[in-house]
Amino acid sequence: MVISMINPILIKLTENDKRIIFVILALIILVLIIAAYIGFLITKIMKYQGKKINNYVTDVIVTGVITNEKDFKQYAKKKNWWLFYHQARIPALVVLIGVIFYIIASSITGYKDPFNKDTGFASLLFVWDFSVVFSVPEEGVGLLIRWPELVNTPHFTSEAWISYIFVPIILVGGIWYLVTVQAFIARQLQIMKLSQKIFNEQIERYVANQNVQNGTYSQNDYNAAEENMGDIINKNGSK
Amino acid sequence: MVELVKNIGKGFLYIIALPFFLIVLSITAVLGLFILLYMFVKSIFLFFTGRSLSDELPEDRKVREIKEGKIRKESTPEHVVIETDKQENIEIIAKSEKEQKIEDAVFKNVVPEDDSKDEPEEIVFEELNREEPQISEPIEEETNKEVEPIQIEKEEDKILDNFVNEPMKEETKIEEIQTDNSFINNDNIVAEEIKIGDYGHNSADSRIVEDTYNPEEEEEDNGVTISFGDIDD
Repeated sequence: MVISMINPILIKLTENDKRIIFVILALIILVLIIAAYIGFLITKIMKYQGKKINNYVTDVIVTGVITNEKDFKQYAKKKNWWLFYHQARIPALVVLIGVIFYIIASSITGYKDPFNKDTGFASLLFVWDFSVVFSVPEEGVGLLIRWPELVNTPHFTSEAWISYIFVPIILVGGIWYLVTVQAFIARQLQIMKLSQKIFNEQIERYVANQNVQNGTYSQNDYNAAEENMGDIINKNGSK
Repeated sequence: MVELVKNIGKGFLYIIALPFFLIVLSITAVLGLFILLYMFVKSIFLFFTGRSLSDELPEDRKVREIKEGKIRKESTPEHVVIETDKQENIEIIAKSEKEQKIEDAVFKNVVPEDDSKDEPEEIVFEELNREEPQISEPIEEETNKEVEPIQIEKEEDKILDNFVNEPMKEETKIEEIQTDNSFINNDNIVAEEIKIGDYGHNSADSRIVEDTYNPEEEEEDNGVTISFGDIDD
């Protein structure tokens, strides 16, 4: 495809160019749809992770030990940090072990650069050179687009044994730790949501419940009361 | 088609929100590292002071107290074991409605009116040390369980008597008489006066077991159920 810089308005598109543009657009839409489902998956996982804090804060609400939003948030925050510490100490330990191993091994052997494609973990991966994708042609006018060059194919090297141990440990520990961080954020969001629901919507819930009991409910009141039955807080203290 | 467009829009939003999410994630991760380090050091300090990070907060303590209070109110056990006497294999169980001391339940009809706390115990030990009754058949070490077996034997004998040959009846009768003589004192003791643990002033009667012993009656009278555990050989 050649984009004319002299007359930018006139763009000559061949059949091949049209097919390529069509494919690129389809790919973009596909990427957006995949991103939507991945985002949906992440939000669902975060909701599931956030609900874990319910088990730790239910008792203080049901027994009436905490009756205001500020105390609830403080108490729930402490519980959340404690949970985070409980969950994150193992992946932190794993990462620490990997780092200690690398420090000791590299100090003994003088090894450096564990991510190098020749003597590092990248020797096990396909590596492309993206620097040649966009270039200027010899004429000096225009823009040349090319496919990236394949620079490395997977192969084992004995020199990179330290990286073969260090990088997987770091990857596992790092991803595990990030998941616990995500769980912490999810629980924090759930705490904010709960404090709103428990302490600020009680009047609406009470009215809805009263109307249901009196038999003077509207459909909206009935729906609200039905939703409230699944809530944590109940006037009678039952879940 | 609408769903597809919605998903495309959601994907677009998620892609835009992704960098912000990554920023929040990275900040929380760095903060989490510091918090981890702080809590690790704190846990070491708490460990040496005999506490731990998992200790309950003041709110948790209140919740526990409230729950225990509720649980205690709700539970009303019918029987509460007051005391067990392992030597005698006796378990004395009193109903929760009546507060009865063990001494009152055991020595109810035996303790005199001017009884003090120490006297029943003295009586018990004095009676145990007295001479054993003379019986022809060997006595088992614990006499408390003699009631039912003897009663059963006699009942069986009586049942057997109906089905055994007539000449045998006389022999069994003689045996009964002999056994009766071996166990019954010359004094005609009324069954109602004798009770388990009735070691009191009628010392000679302490080991005499009456045939008419009825544990059900005792339960009604005293509000105390006495059960006998298995005796180890």
